[in-house]
Amino acid sequence: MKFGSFLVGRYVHVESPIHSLDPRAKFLGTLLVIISVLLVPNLFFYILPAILILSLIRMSRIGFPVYLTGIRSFWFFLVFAAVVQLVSVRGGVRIFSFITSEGLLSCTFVVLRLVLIILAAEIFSMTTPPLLSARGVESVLSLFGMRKLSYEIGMIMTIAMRFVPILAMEADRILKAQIARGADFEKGKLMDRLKRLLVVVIPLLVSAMRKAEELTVAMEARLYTGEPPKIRYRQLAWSTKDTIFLAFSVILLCSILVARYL
Amino acid sequence: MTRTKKVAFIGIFSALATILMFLEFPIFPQASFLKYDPSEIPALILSFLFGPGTGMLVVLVKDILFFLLKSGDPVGIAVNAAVGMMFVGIAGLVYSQKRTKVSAVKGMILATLFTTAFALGLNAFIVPLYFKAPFELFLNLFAFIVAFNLIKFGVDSFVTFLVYKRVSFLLKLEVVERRQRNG
Repeated sequence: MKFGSFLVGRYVHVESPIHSLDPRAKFLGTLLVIISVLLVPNLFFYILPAILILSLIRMSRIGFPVYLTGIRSFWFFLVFAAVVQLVSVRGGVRIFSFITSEGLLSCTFVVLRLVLIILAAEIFSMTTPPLLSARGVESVLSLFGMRKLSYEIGMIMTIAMRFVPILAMEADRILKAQIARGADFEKGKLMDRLKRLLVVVIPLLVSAMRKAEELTVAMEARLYTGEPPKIRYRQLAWSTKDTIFLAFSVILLCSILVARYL
Repeated sequence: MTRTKKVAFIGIFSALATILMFLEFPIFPQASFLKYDPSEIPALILSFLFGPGTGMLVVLVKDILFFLLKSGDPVGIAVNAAVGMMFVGIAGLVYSQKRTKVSAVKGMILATLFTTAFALGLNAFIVPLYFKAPFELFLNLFAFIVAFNLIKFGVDSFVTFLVYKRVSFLLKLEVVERRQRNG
């Protein structure tokens, strides 16, 4: 087990028009793009979301190779989907043993769909700092009315993001301490290993609860009430750029809908 | 139980769940998208401590965070969130009605069975749509999905059962301590 490699998250810090988009616009827009990819009726119409996604990637100034590493971690998932299509869809011209032209087409269709969805999701998570994306999720939720609940969810997400690295370090420390005392997590039957893992899980939970208690006291001392504040340290400002981005994703969704149902 | 305390606990337990979610390993090589991770355990513990709603929130926040930290396929994460919330919610609901050991076990067994059924239904809907695969593929995967969910939530329940009593006393202890300190 290794903790610590994932602490940075996927955010890549550079200056670009995509980075400076309002997190609300980015969140909604990404959602619309993903929905439109899911609704694409045939292979040809993938060209529309593909153009939008590729130009967004270009504008984000991160570089395509970085995006590819994200896709690489899903290679098994993609291969699985591709093989399923090749095996299950039959028809058209036979090309090579069980591979047929229909199968190949539908394989391309599904792999393209998965790749485009992963890319669209990556654009959001790579260009939005985690704390701002919490704000984005919060304000999109608050569009549906529950102002107080969505503020609380935003607060919870912020706390959780702050504590992920701290708790990961804690877990690492406990694990090493128990190994130093002679604990062996590698040998034995599954049941035994699970039971032995308890010497890590219980201290970790206890430490998490301690931290939560302390955090409660600290928050109460600063008069946290759960009421959304009137003023924020970081004001979100909606600009023309955001409207344009959102408009593009709405146009994409509409054209896909037209292509599908007309 | 103040609102602040709830927010702090849910936040920190979601962080813990997110970390645990990175320890994912596939159980069946044939169906590699079914990965086991122990991330429902903190959610289940919190759902026993503070009620089903808090546990469900932990699952939701953990999945959003995991998505932001690792990104990738949003549909799989959404399914994970729906199934996890169902499991934690049912188990917490049963336990909140009657807080005994027997009722906790009953709740976890009930939740495991119900959630497995729910996951099956959800997969029957998602697999043909998302993979654009024929329905027979789903039927082929049927046994894996059932076994996977039973194993996943079975292990989660078992670990929670072993851990819960040793951890939950702490909460009461600290309440008592604070009362004593305050006079």
